[in-house]
Amino acid sequence: MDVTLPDPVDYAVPGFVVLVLAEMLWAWAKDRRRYCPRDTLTSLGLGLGSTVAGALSAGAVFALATWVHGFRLLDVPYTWWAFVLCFVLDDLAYYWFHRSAHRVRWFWASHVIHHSSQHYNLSTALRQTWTGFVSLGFIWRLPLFLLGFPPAMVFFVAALNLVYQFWIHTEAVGRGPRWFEAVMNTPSHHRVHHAVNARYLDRNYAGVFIVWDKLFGTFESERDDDAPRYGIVHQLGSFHLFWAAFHEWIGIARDVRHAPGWRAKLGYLWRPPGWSHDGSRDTSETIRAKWEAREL
Amino acid sequence: MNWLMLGGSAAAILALSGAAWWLRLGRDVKIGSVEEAADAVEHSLPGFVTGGAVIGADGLAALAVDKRGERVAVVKRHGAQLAVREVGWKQIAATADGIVVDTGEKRFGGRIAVTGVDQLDMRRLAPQSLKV
Repeated sequence: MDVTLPDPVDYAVPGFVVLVLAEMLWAWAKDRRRYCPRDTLTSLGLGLGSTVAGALSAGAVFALATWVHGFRLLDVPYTWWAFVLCFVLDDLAYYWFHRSAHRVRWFWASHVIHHSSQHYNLSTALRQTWTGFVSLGFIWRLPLFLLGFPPAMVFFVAALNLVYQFWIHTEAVGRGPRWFEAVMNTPSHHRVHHAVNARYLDRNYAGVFIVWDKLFGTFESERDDDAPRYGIVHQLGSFHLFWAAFHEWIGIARDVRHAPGWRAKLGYLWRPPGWSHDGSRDTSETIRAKWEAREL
Repeated sequence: MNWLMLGGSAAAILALSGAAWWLRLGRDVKIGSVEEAADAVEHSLPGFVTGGAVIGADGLAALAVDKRGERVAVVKRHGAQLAVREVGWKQIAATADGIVVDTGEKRFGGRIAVTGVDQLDMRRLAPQSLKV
């Protein structure tokens, strides 16, 4: 049965614009350093580029999804419970995609764009990758099609997931009720995720439900005595759109070219960001270890 | 996505960025103190313990040296935030206008000027090194 579902993101865009403006007014009243015009321009420009890149690759991704769906184990119908189940399982798939996007340099090269701003505001939410298709990040959703969820249903709930994640990219919201913070991804949990503080590195990969991080041991709560600092470990220091979009891919190419031997070359592709064949650079683990040694 | 949506999105982007500029958000930010510069360096460079720091006269850049005088980092204003790079002593040169740091990274800012800072200031930071 062919079903056409609307794209939730299209309907959410006017809301995004209004909320970004509202947050700017909040920053104007509270702390004008929370926004930077050039950073905002870069973030939104990257978001627009991401939308274009997504539109260009949508056909191929949908075709692949449909092909995989052809081997499905079950026939999942378009019922309300199927949408709910699909949403939950898609969020689980998102958690693992997101975790790989931080722990495997190949996937990180695509995802780093989103983290490359030193600001944390709603415009950061729209700072998205141009190379998602190239990095093959969509493979994490393939099991859903194989299980039997129709591609249209999966892409619909995935878009809902993305719309949810927009509002958590803010410092304007503190912590919510405990029951909410216990289950859902929130601005507080996601501030930790975007932070480069040693304590917070590679934590809180959740999309919608923070329970996955608690289940798989990657949860860290935000602490008042350790205010998040945002960006990436090796700060970009540039507002250049194309540099932001491709710098890590260029870094990978340089490292692979100069690496001694195939083992090292492959290491620069699949090992965590910061890994080096001679141990000369820092990974999240070494940063955390150095910090823990100082704390003691 | 169609041309109308693309055009509308581009217009919204320019409008929002313009709003941030008009509201004077993130403007006129300077490096306020040596503590602020040292803090930025220590949070950016694992294991770096600041021995001393000096800020340029225009507040747009700073240099920090570690306690042993072996490591040196440059801090620059990046919009409303600070960005840090560790550099080698050979990348630092004294000029008539101040210290110039060749970061070797064009996109980061190939040559960063720490104005109003001279060799004497650097030697006070790292007397044991005498490298500038």
